Amino acid sequence: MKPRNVILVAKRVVWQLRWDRRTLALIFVVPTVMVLLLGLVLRAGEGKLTLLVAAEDVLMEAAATTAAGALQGVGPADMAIEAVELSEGYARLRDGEAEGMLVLSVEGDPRLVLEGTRPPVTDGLTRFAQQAALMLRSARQGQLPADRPAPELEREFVRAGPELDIVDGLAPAFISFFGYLFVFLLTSVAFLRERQQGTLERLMITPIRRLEILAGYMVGLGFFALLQMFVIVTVTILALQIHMFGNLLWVFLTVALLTLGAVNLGILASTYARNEFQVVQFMPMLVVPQALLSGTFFPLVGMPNWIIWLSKIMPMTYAVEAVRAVMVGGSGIHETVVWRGMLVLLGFALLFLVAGARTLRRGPT
Amino acid sequence: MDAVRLREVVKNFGAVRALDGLSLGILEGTIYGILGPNGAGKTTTIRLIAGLLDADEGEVRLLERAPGSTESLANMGYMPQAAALYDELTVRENVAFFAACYGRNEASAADEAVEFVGLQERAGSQVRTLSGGMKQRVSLACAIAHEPRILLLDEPTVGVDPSLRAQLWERFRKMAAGGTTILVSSHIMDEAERCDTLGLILRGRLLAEGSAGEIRERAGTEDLEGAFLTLAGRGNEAA
Repeated sequence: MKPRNVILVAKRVVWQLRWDRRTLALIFVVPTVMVLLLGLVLRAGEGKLTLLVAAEDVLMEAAATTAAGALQGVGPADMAIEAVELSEGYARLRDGEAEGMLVLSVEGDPRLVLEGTRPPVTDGLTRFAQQAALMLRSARQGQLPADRPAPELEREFVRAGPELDIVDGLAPAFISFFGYLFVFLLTSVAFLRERQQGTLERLMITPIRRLEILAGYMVGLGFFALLQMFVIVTVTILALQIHMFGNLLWVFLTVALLTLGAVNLGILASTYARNEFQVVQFMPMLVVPQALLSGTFFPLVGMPNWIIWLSKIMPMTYAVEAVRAVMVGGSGIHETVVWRGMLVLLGFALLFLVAGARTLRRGPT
Repeated sequence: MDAVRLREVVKNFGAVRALDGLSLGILEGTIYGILGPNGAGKTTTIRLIAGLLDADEGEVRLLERAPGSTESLANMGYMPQAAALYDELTVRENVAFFAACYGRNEASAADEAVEFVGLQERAGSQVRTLSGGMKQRVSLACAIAHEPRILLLDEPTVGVDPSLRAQLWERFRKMAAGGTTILVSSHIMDEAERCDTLGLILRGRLLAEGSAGEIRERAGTEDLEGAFLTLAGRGNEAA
């Protein structure tokens, strides 16, 4: 492979896109908007919850008011706890003004009435209500006054710390997924166009070799991919104020290797597509399963073995693991999850490159 | 010496036999015109010589080398039927890029080719802003900028106006005089008259070969178009 030829093709790829101002703007604007939007939505989703406390019969109404006051003292800061009449409580739940209602009865433990449309909220409230029921039971048995706050547990973190929130946990996945998605789209469409307009065929009967053409594309589109990745990482960290416990350099390097693989996969996918409609449909086929099965958005713990195995043949799994280890876990390149992840990603990139070169044949158009 | 030689070449596309034992030889420094109705096998012949297709049977040689070999590719220029250009790049950038693919990096190579096709005034224009005929000329410039020894032109003057066509042919003639071997496929009889040798192809076989005068004589007609129709008619009857 002659570096001169690779640079020649790469320069042309970059030079060609410079006229396409809209595509250039989209490369940077779209992922920024997506990342910001997801971050904001996820954080807004953690808003204030309202738990009502009511009594099954009038005899218990005073107890409900006391219990509400006591639980407010021990409940999470983002939860409002109010005493209401039973009928009013049902009305507020139906209107969506509250998420749950603890109903006290003269005998036995209270029951929990839930608004029910948001499963994560339902689960959270159920857990809190179970604790509350235990406290109320203890109070009734005279073991512990209900208004005495639960003991504050001392927490020790092996990695990261208490300041992390849901967006911190998902940021490594955002960075990897969006980096992969947009680069795949850009490459597959760009290379398909090269095939359709006949320039690829023209290029293939010059003395430039197939691998040089592909490597040129990888370098040229990789240039935009790296710029895009820089934007995504910067926006994620600065605008969403993500906590960064490790070295940013390892995050860049990992995602760079992932996107190089995406460039080559995009080229490979374009081989099997005859038009833009088809190539865009490769996205749900090749990218979305990676998001679903690589632990990007759903943890793999407890999944069947075959899914775990499937996740191991997906580049994004290794990228998310490594980026998460660096960003949230503060790992360095000396830790196995990081260096092994990078090596595997490099392996995928080379594999797709060679596979792409094998499919690049002269033939009827 | 034959710069291009085909011997008993067969090419099938599925059940369709595009070339059926085609043999022809093109002398170095001459212009060979390949004529035939649509679907006769003209483009397939050119693509086989270019190395874009492999023959199922028979042999293709360019300067005694196999098509697609490094030497063949380096010595050949190919202008496909469709313009095959980068629309977003300028005329000069397109020509310079393809010249550089052959190792011709100097600016003069691209400039001379752009001048050859008469587009020096539009050299800085993006290709997508050009007319169809202009794109054809840019495509031609891309095929000749590296000064190939063998030039393959698949219907090169479609959409080019008659005066420019005449100019281009004058230049092809000069290139041939300089030693370039040119194979050109065409429907245009006026162009066919300008070739040193004509090959009339029908159903993937060579029906007649010779100079325009020889072909007319063989068909017993006054003009080349009449000769073409007569010979094609005889070929159809024979089939």
